[in-house]
Amino acid sequence: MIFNSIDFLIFALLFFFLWPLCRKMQTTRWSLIIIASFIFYAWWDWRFLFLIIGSGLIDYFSGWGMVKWPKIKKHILTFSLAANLGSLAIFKYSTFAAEIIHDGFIKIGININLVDNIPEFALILPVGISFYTFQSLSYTIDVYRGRLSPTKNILHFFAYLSMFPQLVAGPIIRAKDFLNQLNSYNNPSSQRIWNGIKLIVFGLFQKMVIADNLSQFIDSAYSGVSKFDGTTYWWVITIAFSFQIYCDFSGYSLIARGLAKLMGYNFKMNFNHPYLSRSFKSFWNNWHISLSSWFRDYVYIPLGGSKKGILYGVLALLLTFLLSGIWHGASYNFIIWAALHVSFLLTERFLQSATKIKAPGLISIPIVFGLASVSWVYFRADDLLQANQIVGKLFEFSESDPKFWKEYQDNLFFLKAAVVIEFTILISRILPIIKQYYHKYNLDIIAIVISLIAILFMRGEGEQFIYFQF
Amino acid sequence: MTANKKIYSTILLSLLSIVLIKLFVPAPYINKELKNEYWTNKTFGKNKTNIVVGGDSRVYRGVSTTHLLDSCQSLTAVNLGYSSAGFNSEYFNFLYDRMDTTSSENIMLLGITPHSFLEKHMSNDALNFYKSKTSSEIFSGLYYAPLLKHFPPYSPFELFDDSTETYIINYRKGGFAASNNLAGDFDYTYWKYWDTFRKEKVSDSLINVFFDDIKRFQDRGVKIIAFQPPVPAHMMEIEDGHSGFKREEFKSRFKNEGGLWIEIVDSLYSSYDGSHLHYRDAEKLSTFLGVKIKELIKDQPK
Repeated sequence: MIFNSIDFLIFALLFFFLWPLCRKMQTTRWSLIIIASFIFYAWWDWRFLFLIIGSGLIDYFSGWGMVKWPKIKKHILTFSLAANLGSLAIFKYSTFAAEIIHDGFIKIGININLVDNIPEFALILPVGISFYTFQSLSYTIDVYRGRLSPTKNILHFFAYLSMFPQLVAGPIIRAKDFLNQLNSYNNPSSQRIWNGIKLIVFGLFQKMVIADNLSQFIDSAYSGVSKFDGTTYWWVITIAFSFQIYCDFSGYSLIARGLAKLMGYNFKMNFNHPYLSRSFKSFWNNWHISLSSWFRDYVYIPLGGSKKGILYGVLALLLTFLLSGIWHGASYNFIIWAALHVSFLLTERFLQSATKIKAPGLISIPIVFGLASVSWVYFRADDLLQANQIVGKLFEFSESDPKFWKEYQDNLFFLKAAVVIEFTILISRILPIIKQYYHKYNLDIIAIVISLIAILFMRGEGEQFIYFQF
Repeated sequence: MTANKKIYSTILLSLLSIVLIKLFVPAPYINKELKNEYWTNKTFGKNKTNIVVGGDSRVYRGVSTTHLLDSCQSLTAVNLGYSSAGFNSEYFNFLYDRMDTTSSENIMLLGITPHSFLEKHMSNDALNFYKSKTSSEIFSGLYYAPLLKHFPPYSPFELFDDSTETYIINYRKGGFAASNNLAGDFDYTYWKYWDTFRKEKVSDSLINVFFDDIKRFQDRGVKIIAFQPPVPAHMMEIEDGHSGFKREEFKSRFKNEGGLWIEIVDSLYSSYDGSHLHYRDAEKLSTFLGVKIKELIKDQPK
């Protein structure tokens, strides 16, 4: 079930009809969340519910076991990690691993086709597996570290793990932040409801109006259907994809946060206008914040972070990004994408420490955006060969047929709209008076009405969210 | 302003905006939701009828079931024409599945064009494209599209551009698509069709299969009525001269095999692109077909 569908609208209306009746008692509240979340997930494929349930049961009992038998808590954690990462490996990485092994064998003259021998069920990628696996892992790791007391109630745990607004595409919520919230019941104030509505409407606008209307333009280029080519054309495609993936994913996160607010809960911000960042460090503090901070807290810092010297810091950064790349998908493209970001971050660090110069936003913002956009080519391309060809075209300065502006004028209208919106946010950061006027004259009402009308009358084709595949 | 007031103001302003848009902004040239509802209903609709109309785009743009039934009000009808439909067993079975076999009157009304006997159209790509929809797409087309069609998505340049789209298509109930091109290009399809028939001729073996199929349904008590959708003289010249389709021979065999043929005077109807009828002429043709069907079934034993 996707947020931008009538199915979900009916589902949400039913849920929020039942919610006030069930939320007062813990057991009924958690049960409703679990039932609704399982229905939400089963809408895609009910068979994979067992994966969430299995993963959840392992982590629930692991947390409980670590407190009961502290002497063997390391073994319990190892078991939990192996089980979670094992299922992730089977469903997400078995084909990729089989291909690598196959290529390796071919090089030494042995032809064993492992890919064809992978069981059929393992070829299906369960929606959101990377998200709920990481969420579940954070629980056991925090219990192991003594930062969290395990919950005794299995319904409490599963309500946290399966929470439908963020189940399949985040934001990745942490048990130590959210289990406590689930314990209590807050009747959402009208201000909170208004904030929730705003988040949902802005999220739907980003997804249905911007991202969905850009998809046909981008898909036609990457699938080779488009007759256009040349440097300008591919730069426009590349920039369009940057906005598509941003609006698609940020839109999902906003809707998830809005739904949580309507339920009386709070998810942390997942995107904070990353394309307005003046550095790559800032970009990663503002892009997919819940995943970046997950990797920071559970991989980068435990590896020593930047406190163990330059070489160790570089290795920690490299490993963290490599894992982040692989988290997104089993392909060399994601590894290259991650490697590019490591090189951007390291170059930035080096330049900042060597020159001590802080570039003005007018220069740094377009540079960060441009380089991030180039790296997205590896994210979007079907394979490494296609990505390299497209990146080559970006810098070969070949001529483009200007007719593409006319042919795709409708799609490009939405790209321009996205750029204008981000530019307005940038200006409002520079000129606080704009924000003051925005609040003083309640311009949020106008923004919401315009967004709603655009959602109704300018929506694109109802596309799946891009991050569902992760 | 309090949050509650903001919520109510937003609802009020949004509703007002929607009303103003519905009142003052012309409908988009193509209502995608209506189109979705139309094709989903055509392919997966549950209603069974006395008359099923079959054929290619000339048929779904050329036969209005509403006008067809003006003279046969006791009957029901659905137009199951698809672009580039080819007459083969798969297509006939699809037509038969939508026939109300519990009633005493079962009619297949077929629009005969040379294109429907080309090998390349036997794959029935348009029909199979819609048949391959997922269950959620079908559900959405059948039950959500009727609601969403009232909020059709606009293309931005439709709203802001002064230039006018000349091609119009209006998807109607019963499977008819009323179409026209205001900047009518009489020769638009001429060279396309010329090229088609240069590459491929009508297959005699497919015509034989067609007759085997209609025999199969005649044996089940279905009346097979056929007509040739009207085309301008220059298009007729290609279709009779270059397609390999022997019109008179076909008609006489059809009648000999027990089919009922309706003669159409081509010059009475006008086309906007050399192939498809202007919707008003399509309605006129449909009324005429209805009258003729009434006459034919009156003379036929039940």
